[in-house]
Amino acid sequence: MTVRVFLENLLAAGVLRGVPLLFAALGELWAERSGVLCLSIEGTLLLGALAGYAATLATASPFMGLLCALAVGLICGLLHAALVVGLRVDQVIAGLGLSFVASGLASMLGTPLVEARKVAAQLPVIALPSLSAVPLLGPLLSQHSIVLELALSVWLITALVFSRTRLGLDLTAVGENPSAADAMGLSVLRLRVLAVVIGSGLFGIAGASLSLAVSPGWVEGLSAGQGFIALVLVIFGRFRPSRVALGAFLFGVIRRLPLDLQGVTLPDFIERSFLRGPGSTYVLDMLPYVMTMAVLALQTVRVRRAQSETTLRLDDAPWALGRPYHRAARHER
Amino acid sequence: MLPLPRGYRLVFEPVLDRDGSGRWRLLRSLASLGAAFAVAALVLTAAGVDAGLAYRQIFTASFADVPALSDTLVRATPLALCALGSALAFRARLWNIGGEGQLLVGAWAAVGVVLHGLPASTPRPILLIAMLFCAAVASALWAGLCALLRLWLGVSELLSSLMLNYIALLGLRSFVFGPWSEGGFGLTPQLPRSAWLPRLSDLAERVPACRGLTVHLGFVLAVLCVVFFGLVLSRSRFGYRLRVLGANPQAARAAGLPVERDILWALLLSGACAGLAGFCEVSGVVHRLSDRFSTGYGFTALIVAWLAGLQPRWILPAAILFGGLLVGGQELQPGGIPLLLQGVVLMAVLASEALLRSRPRLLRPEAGSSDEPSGASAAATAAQKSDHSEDLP
Repeated sequence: MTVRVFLENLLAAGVLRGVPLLFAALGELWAERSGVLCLSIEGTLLLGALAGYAATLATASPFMGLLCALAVGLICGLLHAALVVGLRVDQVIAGLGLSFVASGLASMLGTPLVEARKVAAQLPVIALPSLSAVPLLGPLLSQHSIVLELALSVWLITALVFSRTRLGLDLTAVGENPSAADAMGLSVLRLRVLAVVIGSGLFGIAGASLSLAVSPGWVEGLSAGQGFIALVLVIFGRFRPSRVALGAFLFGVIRRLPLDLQGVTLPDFIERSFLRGPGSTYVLDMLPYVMTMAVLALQTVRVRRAQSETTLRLDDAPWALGRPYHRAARHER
Repeated sequence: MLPLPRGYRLVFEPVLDRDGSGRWRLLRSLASLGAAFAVAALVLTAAGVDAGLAYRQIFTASFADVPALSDTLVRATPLALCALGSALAFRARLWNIGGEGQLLVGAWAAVGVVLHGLPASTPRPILLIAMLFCAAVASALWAGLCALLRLWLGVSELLSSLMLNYIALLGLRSFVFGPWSEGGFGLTPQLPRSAWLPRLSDLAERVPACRGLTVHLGFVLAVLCVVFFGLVLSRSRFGYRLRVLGANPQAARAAGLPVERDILWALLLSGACAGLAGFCEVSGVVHRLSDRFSTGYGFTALIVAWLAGLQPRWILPAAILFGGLLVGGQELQPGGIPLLLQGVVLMAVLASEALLRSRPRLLRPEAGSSDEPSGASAAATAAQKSDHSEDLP
């Protein structure tokens, strides 16, 4: 197998793997730009994946599945917003709690699906044979699932909203300085609820893209921490949609790499090392998680001491990220 | 939303000076537990499960007689230890949510020292102490990684501990499927009998009543740890510094407290507790290592810690309750009900905490225009409503 074929296959599979990450990371971006940390991401993603798969089984239409996943995401978002925006519960613990509830519900409701052993339809694949000659990206462009287009359009919309529209500006204001935004007459509450609900809806779609296109089918714990990786991607992308998209595809490729490397003969000293022994696939599977930590380390190294008490300790994060807002409380800067 | 006359509105005003401590904390936890079970019953009914029957089954399987209670205590042991670890870190506002990974690393170290470290003829007490020590140290170092990443590079311990959970599980798999595996399955060989923690059923020859009781010495260890760290947190200087750090990190820094050192030690001890839980599981219960011996104790423990209000003295009751939930949930179909219940309990506790920090006020039509709209309270669930009515003084 030539290097070129290897890279082409890796890109074709890896970019597709990046699609759920992109949906989830963009959803998180919406919430975080408005100042809300959504740790419910992993559970919502799982529940969305289940809802999408189950609805597709029931209606035989993957688009209905996608719609159901979106609806489930929106409902989770409302619940999360009620807790953290309405009741001002600590965002870390509320998000984790919601994540547990959603994963529990998903594994409970999903058990019959695992036992039924039926196969649901997948989202359609787009074939553009004329593009197969493009170097490196050929196999990817000429045949891919429609979720890729969907993800790219969500990315485009998100980027436009945050760079060109009033709504994006308002959300950013609420995330950076809620007191000032409030004084200007913006409703911090409404904007944050909106951002969390939109974000959660995207988590639901991310789940459906997983169970209906990227790794079709339903197994318990399908997402394997991809929600949390998406969380880090937002940091990697410094809260900007374009860099987030780049990171999502990069991590999709990284996630795919161990699988593709199995079929390749590597230099002798690697073949004989622990990386090829029994149980070695698990060592290689650590790659995305290790890379995530490396990204965090590189990203936060410039942090200033004075800021080091916030939840995520980041330079570029919206100032109010993770801080509940109430008009009557003091908000020191 | 409550049915209110036209024009009236219910607002929750923040009460900033009430910390929700003391007897209200207990009452609140109990009330939110009750509310959580009620909400979960609704969800279960909606999902087509007979909630009353499910609850009865859980109770019979976990608390009805002595053997059942013994099983519950076995499950409560790792929960209490992990929850203690989480509570230690949370009190200092360190988000160590890597309890699961630390538990796995502790179990790995405990099994490793028996199977590949010490000779098989080592006497039982020495072997057990060596396992305990290795488990605690290995997990402490694993958690210490988060501390170092935070102190040197500024990486949030929340995210690094989360990622280390996945890395620990994959690392464990690479061992149980690779070098330590027995015949290529995801299992190590069984530990020699001298590496087993004594159980009550070992006394069955002399005390017939102990027959079949699975509770092991690890439970005593858990109780000792909870008492010890409870005292450390409430009575020692180190514990005081941790509480200051948690309440106001800027103040801790300004007062010249050794914040860096305390963060490191808090995470090391937090990890060590979770490691002991791993040791108790492999030495007291499963007697071998596999990749799925832990049913998410580290995650459940987060909820236990929060239900206990991060107070060590409430950790044991909370852990026993949740242990019972796990034992009862084993028999239940469909699976996942315990996980759902846990999540709902946590949400109810959180909501009650928020409601305890607020004072409900009914606004008359003419006074209502200047206050913040209370749209969020519309989304408050039944759990939250029943909470505040029972909780507020």
